[in-house]
Amino acid sequence: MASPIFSAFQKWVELTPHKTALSFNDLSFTYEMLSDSAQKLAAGMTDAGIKPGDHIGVVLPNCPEFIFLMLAAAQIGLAIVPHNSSMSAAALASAFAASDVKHLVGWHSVLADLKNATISPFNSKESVWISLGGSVDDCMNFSSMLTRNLPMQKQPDITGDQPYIFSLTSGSTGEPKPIVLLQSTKMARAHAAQTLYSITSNDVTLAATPLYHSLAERLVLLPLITGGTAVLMATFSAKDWLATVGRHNVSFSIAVSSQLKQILPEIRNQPNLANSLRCLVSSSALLDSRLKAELLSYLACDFHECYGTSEIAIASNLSRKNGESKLASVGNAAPGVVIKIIDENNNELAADQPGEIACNTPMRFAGYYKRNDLTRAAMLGDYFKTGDIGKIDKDGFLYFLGRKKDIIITGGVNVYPQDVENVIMQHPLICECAAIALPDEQLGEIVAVAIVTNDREKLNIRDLQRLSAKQLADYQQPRRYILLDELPKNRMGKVMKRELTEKYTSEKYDTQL
Amino acid sequence: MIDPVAAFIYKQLEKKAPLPPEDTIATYRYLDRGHVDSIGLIKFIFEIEDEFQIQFASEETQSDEFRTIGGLISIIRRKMAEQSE
Repeated sequence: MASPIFSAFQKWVELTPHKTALSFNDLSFTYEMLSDSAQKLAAGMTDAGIKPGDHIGVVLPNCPEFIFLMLAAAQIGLAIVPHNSSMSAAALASAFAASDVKHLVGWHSVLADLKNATISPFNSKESVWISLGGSVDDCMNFSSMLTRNLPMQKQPDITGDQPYIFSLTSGSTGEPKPIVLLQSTKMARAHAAQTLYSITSNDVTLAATPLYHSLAERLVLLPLITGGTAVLMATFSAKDWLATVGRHNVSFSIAVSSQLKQILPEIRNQPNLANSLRCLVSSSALLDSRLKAELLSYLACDFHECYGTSEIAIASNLSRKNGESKLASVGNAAPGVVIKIIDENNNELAADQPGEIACNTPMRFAGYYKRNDLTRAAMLGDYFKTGDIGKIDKDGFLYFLGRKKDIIITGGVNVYPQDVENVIMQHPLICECAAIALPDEQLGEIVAVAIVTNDREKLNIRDLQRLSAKQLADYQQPRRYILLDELPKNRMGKVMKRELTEKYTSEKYDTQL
Repeated sequence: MIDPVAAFIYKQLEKKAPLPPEDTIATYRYLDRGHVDSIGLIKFIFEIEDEFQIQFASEETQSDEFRTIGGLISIIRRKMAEQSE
């Protein structure tokens, strides 16, 4: 049996070999070219000893080679574990170890740094390292693999149950919780998006977020398995986003709501550049209603907002029409999804009663890798407990009320407070700290850290910033430091983060970058 | 031989995305183009400070010169020269 993802893609290679499958900057690749590169890479990796079921760590910027790799991995049944290059080498090594990564594909300088890192559990003899952008000792060269003409070996049997992408939710120092997504999960998610947003082979889909996040992976796979065209941006700026939409006649995209905030002023100046858009989706956080109204006044296209988590993808959908009558709702259940609200004893609650949002969906993940305990704790039968608080009204519309889980979402990216706190606590003058989310106009939320020091005179905030810069990824960097005499705690000694958030949402901070 | 300041900046930026062609690299507005976004800026600044043992003033990081690769390299070189005086 052939890989479901690769077969779906290959079907379009046969039907429309000369159609543009992927555009990136000034480069474009037809279906035939993309398939050729992916198959050469798959043959090269097989020849190098990489086997079906192996886990491949990926540290690449947004580039066509990332897409070749995604297709090659689907074809020969590899699981890719993409990660952000701004993590320190030690953090990358630990995150990859948690996913049993055996091989690496990475940007040359990242691989060179990883080679020098003393902890490198996957640095075994069987381990294959493939370098892009330059040569690194003992590494295979990505670009040369694409020029070799190896005979394609017998295709392995790949079923939908093959793990395909390990999405890393937690960063470095905390507890990595790799989310396992099977090929069938990715297919189910693509089909759901196809139905919900009426995607066809005529669509040109734009991906403008990093490929190490599931959103961009979905936005690239979706057109490739539905015969459309994927447009990938190297980096995001609002001006480039709108110019790219205009230049490539982009018809569909899912943007993070914080991106849409930045895009609005550009659309205000040049609304006609967005004329090709047929459907636009806002994800991550609910858009401010005034901003949304203005954005929609410039856009004639269909518009959706969605709510979901990495574990289940899309849970609910708010269409443009429903958005007018159901203000502040995140919509009703997406096709195939059942949402219920449960209390602390897992009992289902009646309409308008707030509780935890739980979802039963064919798009849900296969579990946290090697963490059956965490997977079991997150499931209630077939329902995934999101850790978010919400309510459902009598018409079936879901309202997001907050998070039960202690998580900060900055620019659409999840930050786990523990990861930040563990790093800040390494500073010898810090006695205790608490990382919290504070609202931010542009990013939705930012990371703030309340700190207690035993020596106010000596403590230099720049040292904390330097420590964070060294050990945390860019999105995890604290943007505010709040110096306190003590942290507010309840009688059990637990830090009351909600109090901190409420207090410092309105007040000025000690240190502002 | 490419100078170490430029080499370090190119290396850091290339990890995030491919750089523009050699002849336009000096005027490339890496901040406006989202090559380093507001989320990544703090880490980027501290990495440079650490590498060259300098400390940017906020007027420098907020200046227009800081927004192009050529300008950023000039600021770093200037600060290194000031320090060695």
